[in-house]
Amino acid sequence: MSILLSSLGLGLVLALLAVGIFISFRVLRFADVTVDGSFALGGAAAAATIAAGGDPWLATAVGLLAGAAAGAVTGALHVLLRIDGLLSGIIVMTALYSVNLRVMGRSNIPLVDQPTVVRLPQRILERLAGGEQAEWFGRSVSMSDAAVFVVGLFVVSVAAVLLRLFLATNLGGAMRATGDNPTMMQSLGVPTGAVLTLGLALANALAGAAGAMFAQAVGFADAQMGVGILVTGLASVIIGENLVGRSSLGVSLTAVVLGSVIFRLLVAIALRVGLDPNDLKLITAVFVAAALALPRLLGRKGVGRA
Amino acid sequence: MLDVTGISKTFNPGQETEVRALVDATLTVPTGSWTIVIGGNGSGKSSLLNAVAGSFMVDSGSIAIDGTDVTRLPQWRRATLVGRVFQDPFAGTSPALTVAENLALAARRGLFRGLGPLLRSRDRVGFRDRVASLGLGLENRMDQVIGSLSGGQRQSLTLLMATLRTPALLLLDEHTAALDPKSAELVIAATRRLIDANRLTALMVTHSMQQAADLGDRLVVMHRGGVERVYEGAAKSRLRPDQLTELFAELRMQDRIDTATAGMLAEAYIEAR
Ligand SMILES: Nc1ncnc2c1ncn2[C@@H]1O[C@H](COP(=O)(O)OP(=O)(O)OP(=O)(O)O)[C@@H](O)[C@H]1O
Ligand SMILES: [Mg+2]
Repeated sequence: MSILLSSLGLGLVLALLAVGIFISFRVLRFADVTVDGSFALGGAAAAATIAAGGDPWLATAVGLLAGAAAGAVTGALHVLLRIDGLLSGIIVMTALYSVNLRVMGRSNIPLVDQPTVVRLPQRILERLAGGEQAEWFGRSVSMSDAAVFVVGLFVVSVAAVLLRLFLATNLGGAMRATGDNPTMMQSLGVPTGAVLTLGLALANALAGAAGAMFAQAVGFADAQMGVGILVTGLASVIIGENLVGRSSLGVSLTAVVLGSVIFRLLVAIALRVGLDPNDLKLITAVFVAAALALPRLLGRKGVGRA
Repeated sequence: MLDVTGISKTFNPGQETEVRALVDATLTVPTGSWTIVIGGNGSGKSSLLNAVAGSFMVDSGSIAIDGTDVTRLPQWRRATLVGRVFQDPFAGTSPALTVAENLALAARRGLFRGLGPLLRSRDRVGFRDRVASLGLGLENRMDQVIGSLSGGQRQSLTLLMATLRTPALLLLDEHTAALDPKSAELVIAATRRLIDANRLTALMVTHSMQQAADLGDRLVVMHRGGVERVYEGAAKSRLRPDQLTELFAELRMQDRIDTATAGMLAEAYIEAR
């Protein structure tokens, strides 16, 4: 039960990242690898802010803004300097590795004894339960896991609803169409480069916020925490789209959130039955590669678009 | 209205693939005129329209629309003045968005796009009526994604979108060339209706001698990146398709003679060495 709840919670926190990846890969149709760096940047910036005595929600906002800045740099490299999109992301991701070490001043910041966004709900839950653990459905549940779940659910719901509303505005609609058909949008008077850059900033803002919350949920920030996170997020997007669907924007966003949760559960189960954690990235990578290749091999369209 | 003065454009200058797409091209389109552009393959028709729309910046010369010098303006800023339909029937619409959403995007051509709702219910009625006027029955498919429609349907919608906010200048580049005859006819009928009803100023490229003879009030013949001939008034209305075909043969002959002469000169020059 505790494993279930803790993977649900982390799945919801990482769903923020998956939603960001949905924006870059699906809405903008831009293969943005910046997220590996901006996720860790968000974690680093938040941890540094908290370690310096900052409020945890402020720290999360700092992580979000730092991620947005990273995404904007990738966009600017691509739009202003005409560097290939994939390469722009790789350049920024590489640079961020050093930036993150600078931000933290060392390779990792523990947050165990620090105030975090999880702390307050955890206190409330512990008071209600009368202890750090509670008996739910006949099993012992940690109130810190329950708190991550509550905070994760709240934040990702707010983010998904706001994003859904944004995509239905004049600007949001222009962003969707820019990913779809930039030539058309130019001819309709949209500076498509600026809109793409804005979209990448938005996607990486979510990645930064996810990193900030993830660091607070697991109790530390680490320079390595972003490695491979893009492929993980992509796996979540693919799982969600295939299990839930993508008939509309609302459905797609719900799918991506659920995909992230399901992915975490699958990982927890795999580890439970004895999978070596070191093999996790290999298996995830093989899964994503297979999901992208299968529809083509089977001659079907649309399953693993990326 | 449109004043194109001595524009030139060379692609890939100095390279083996160098192409002089526009060579000192000059053209004016008076307000309210529907000017047809014809010319052989590679004569610079699309390049002329692209230059006017701002798809690329010209090397020299100037372009003014409605008295505004737009020579150095990027394409998205010229969109305030210019509505556009491409040859590729899939180029002018966003396939993942619905018919209604595409129209809503076009309704704000050249305007600021903020956080107001893209699709307002009071606009929907107007959109529906406009789409119904195309006579394709698409008014019942307003909430379907455009990607599910045929090329002809999409091109008709693109035409509607380009004129939804009345443009100072409408650019049509062989917008029926990729369609089957039946769809092409429908799109031409819609073009006629929209241009007449809104008194648009239009510049239209076509490969069809029939369209060139039937449509518009002026005709421009392009050749080797420049404007070779202009027919207007009575001279235009008297033109028949076969005369245009003859003119084309004549221009092609001239080309062949020029190439032959060039060959002879080259031979003579090389032998002389
Ligand atoms: N972006 C570009 N880069 C390089 N060359 C180009 C480009 N656009 C056009 N050209 C070249 O410029 C010349 C004129 O092309 P343009 O498309 O204007 O001709 P056109 O009159 O529209 O021909 P068609 O009837 O085939 O459409 C051609 O030789 C073409 O290959
Ligand atoms: Mg052409």
